[in-house]
Amino acid sequence: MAIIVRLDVMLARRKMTSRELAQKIGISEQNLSLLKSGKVRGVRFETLSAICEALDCQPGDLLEHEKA
Amino acid sequence: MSKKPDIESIVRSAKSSAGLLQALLFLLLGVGIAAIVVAIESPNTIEELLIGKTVYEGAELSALQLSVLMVLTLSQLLLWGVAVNSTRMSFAQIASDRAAEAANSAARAAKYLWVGLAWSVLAQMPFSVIATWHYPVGERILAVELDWLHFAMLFVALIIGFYSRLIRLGAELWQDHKEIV
Repeated sequence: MAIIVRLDVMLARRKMTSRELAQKIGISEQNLSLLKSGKVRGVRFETLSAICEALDCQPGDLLEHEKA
Repeated sequence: MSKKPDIESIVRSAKSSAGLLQALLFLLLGVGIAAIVVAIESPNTIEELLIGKTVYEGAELSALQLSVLMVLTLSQLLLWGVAVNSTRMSFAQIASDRAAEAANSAARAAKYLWVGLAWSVLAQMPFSVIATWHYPVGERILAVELDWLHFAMLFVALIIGFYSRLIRLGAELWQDHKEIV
C-alpha cells in the first residue's frame, strides 16, 4: 500500500508504549498492532483523532504517502 | 455517532442463547429416549400415541411394525435435533467471534428445517402403510395429509432461510468493519 503508518516513530518520540496508547484511546492492542504494521484497510477519523490527541501530533505526522 | 457495541454483553447474550438451545437439545434427546423406553415397556401406550385407537377389533400392531413406526418418528425428531444443534453452534460461534462460521451454521439450520418439513410430509406415506399393514387386504392405507401446521412450518422455514441469509450478509459486513480500526 502507498500509505505508510509512522505510528511507531511517534510512539518512540513520545516515549509511550503501544499498550499505553491502546489503553488511552480505547482500542485493543491487537488492532493497534495491525494499524502500526499497516495491515488494515482503513482508519476511522475517530481513531486518528484520538491518537493525535494522545500523542500530541497531527495526522500528517502519523501517515505518509509513498509514490509507487 | 452510533454507540459502540459492548462485546462482553454480545458474547454473554450469544452464550446464553447457545445454552438455551443446548437445553432444548437435551429435552429432545430426553423425549426420544422416553419414547424408546415407553415403546419397550408399554407398546400399547406408544401405539395409541402414534396411531390412535385401531378401527378393527383385535387388530394389533406387530413388534416389527411398531419398531418401524418408532424409527420414522425418531428420524423426524433427529432432524429437528440437528436443526436445533446447528442453531446452537451458530450462537456458540458468534460468542467466539467466528461470524462467518456462524453464518454457515445458520444456513445449515435452515436447510435441516426444510429437510424436516419435507420429511414430515413424505414420511406419512410409509407411516400410513406400515400403521395399517395388519388390516385386511383392501383396507390398508397410503395417505399424505397437508394441514395448517405444515403451512405454518413452511412459513417458518422460509423466514428462517431469509434470516440465515441476513446473518451471512451481517458476517460479511462485520468482516469489512473489522478491517477498519
